[in-house]
Amino acid sequence: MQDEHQTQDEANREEGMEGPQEKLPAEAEGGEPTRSRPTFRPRCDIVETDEGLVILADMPGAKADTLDVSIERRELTIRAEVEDHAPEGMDLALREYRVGDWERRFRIPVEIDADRIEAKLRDGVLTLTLPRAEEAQARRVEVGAG
Amino acid sequence: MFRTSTDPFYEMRRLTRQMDRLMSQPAAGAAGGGAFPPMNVHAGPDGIAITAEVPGLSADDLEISVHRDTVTLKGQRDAAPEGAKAWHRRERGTGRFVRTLSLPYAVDPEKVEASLADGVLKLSLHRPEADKPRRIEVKAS
Repeated sequence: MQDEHQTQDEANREEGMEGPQEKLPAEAEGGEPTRSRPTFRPRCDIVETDEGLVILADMPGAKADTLDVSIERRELTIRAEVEDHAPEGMDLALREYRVGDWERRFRIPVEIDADRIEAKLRDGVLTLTLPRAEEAQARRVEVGAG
Repeated sequence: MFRTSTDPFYEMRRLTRQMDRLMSQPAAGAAGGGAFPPMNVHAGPDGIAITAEVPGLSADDLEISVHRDTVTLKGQRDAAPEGAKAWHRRERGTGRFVRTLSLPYAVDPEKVEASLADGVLKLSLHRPEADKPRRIEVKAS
């Protein structure tokens, strides 16, 4: 399983007021951004199970109705919009994170059964279950009696 | 905005960094390093609002305590999904975490409001009435 892009050298992150756990920007490609908010790349765990792959993505602030999971050929994209949750009428005194949308792409090395992908978003964590396509199923050709 | 000694939150930021260094969390900060959960602190005339990104935590996983001018967040993030045979990426942190924040003034422990939704925690802390700066009217003689 490969990220579409190389992981940015995390050691380079600034050690400043901006916060110890600076989020990584999402890759800015694939069309014009339509929103003015920044987009960040969610931290992910990706594990292989007997059935296929499971991806866990930290996407705090994401709601199910703005979540978008798409797979095209072998490129998987996850995306979610996040509304700013800063209280109004108050001044920022300490900022350790910025609020923005989430987006990340993955290149999937194995054949996935796209019809059986399951997505679950709970407490700001996306769990994606990607079952491996069964070879037998992929090869089956319906032959009409004739 | 950050360096001036008149900023009452300067000390808070300094202490927070020191505290995080002291605790040097092995756990949930994980790949990005740094402290978990990341917090934003907002100040208003009536009190302080804290927001924190706590993905994966439910109300039961999180322990919040407020004592005078100190707020402590404690909790635990769960480990790997079941049935994992191999890891391709491991960026999310797991394990126990503790973060302590020293506010510039004591807050009313009876009036703390906390809400948790979609992995975002919001804490609302109020300055006690008696403690608020009072505006003195100057009477014209």
